[in-house]
Amino acid sequence: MRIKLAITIIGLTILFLLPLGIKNPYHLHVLIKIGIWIILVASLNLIVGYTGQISLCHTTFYGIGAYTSAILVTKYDWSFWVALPFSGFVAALTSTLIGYPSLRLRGHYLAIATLAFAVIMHAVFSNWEALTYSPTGLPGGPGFVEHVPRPEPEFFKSDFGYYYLTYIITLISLFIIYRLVNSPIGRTLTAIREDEELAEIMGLDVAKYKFLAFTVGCFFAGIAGSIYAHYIITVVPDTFTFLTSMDVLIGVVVGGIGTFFGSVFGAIFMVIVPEILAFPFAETYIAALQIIIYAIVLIIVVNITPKGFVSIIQDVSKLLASALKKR
Amino acid sequence: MNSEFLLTLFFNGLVVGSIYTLIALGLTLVFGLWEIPNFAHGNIYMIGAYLSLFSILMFNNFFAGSMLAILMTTVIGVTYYVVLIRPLRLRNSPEISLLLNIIGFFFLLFGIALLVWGPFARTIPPPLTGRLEILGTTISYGKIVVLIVTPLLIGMLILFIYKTKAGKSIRAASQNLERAITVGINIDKVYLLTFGIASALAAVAGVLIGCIPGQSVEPEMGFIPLLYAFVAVVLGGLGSIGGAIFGGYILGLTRSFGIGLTGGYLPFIGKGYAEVYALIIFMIVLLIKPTGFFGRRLR
Repeated sequence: MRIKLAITIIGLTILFLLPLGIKNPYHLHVLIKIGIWIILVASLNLIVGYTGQISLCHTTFYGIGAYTSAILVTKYDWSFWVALPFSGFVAALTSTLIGYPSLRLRGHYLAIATLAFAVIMHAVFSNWEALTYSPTGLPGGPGFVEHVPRPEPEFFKSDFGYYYLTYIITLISLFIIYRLVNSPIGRTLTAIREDEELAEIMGLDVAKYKFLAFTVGCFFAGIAGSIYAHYIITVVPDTFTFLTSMDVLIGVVVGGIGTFFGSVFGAIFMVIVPEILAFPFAETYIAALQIIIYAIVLIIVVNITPKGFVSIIQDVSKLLASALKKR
Repeated sequence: MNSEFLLTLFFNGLVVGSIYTLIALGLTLVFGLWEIPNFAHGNIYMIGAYLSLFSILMFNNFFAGSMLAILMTTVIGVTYYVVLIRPLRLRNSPEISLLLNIIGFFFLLFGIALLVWGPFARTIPPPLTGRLEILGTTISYGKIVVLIVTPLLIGMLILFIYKTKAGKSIRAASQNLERAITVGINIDKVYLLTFGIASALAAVAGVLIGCIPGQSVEPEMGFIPLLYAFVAVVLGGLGSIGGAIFGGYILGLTRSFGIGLTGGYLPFIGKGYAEVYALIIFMIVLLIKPTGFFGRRLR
């Protein structure tokens, strides 16, 4: 327990001081991306890892958050600080559309239903007039929202400042999820994951908890979407497909299903792989290799170390601990 | 809106429906045994199409090339089963591990196709050119091939499933796995056979799509047909062959007429939703009656 606390404090300090030491703005970009991904992976982990439901439309809610925030701030002059939580709520509200009826669906039916939903919503993002905007009146394509501005206090307009904004929100989100997961609610969710029928027999209101987990997960996906929209400045529909949802799912699994720190590892892994590939390989190969690496790592993790990276680290640290004790 | 146009839409619908049906049959056969949503199946179809393109080019002979492609694709499909699915079945692993393995192989196939052949679309030189005049409209010979070959294959499949011992063992296993084991049926062989047949059917679909002039192959080509195949299977009922056929052709026709007649319009939201009609119907069906029209009871 003390070690975990120490690591957390050290980690937070590094996090805080990191951008001061960074010379290359590209590194800052990668770090911000990681921050957003952490929220995505942690929120999906809540749905998949803790409650055991498969969702292949997580980035759809990421997109709903992104578009909501982008449109509200560009077209309707809302303040980012109001749009941010509002986007989360819109995402959560929309999630009830699929979350509520899907309660009765088991594993693979849910997977197919969420897949279909992701494809439908991608078509909506790409075609709905209301979701296309450009201040010049000539958007780059259907479903493009352009010139999404950075939020007000001048500090956050630079990438440097936005790093702090991202990580403040990421940390708050992680904190909320952490508290949720380590509460009786969290334990109920785990019970549902382990054996849903048994949980029902024992009197737990399974439907309510599944619904709760799904909605909260989608809320945070929406929040991540808002942060993303104001960072990336142009929102495009192809970011939010079932393929990208599968990416987040891979992040959850690789990091460690149902483990808290796993979300962080998973997010880092998913963001770092393409960055590392960028060094030796030409642009055209990166996308393909990235997908292949994701696939191979996913398969390895599922079949060999189902608990993901985190369990490897735990095993290694246990080995070290016992080796040290023997001295 | 003249009859010639409608007829064209009708034929196109049947052609597209044939492809969906072949893929859906593979899905439903596997579903009948174990409730696996085999996402990777769509990419088996894609690999079948690519392999047929390249072996036809290599041998300069349509028949040899396509046979080779079907063989290779079937091997890939069976290997996938043996390496990723079978061990989980034997270990009685949780559903989610299975789904993740499937997603992993889905990505793997996609990534490999992307790496080896690149992200752009390639056109296939069709083996037959020329069009036939029929009932006031013309239809290319390639499409006629599809329209003839598919029902033939379906017929062969039905004969196999209902008349041969191996086929009957598949039916038995899909109806009641435990009793089938009790009766002495080798479940392992049943699974192998089923995956083999499913992959072969998908491979044939891949070859057939290459017969149609103007069609192209690209790494993403498996996605939409996979989705439609899933819809067909769920609508028709998991494990139901008749249902898959029904669903496949109905969806093909819906898509063809939907795009042709309306250009994909949805009220309030606008144009461009052609792909999505079927999916919306699908989601509604899924949420109201998950067993589909001809399906068995959900466990």
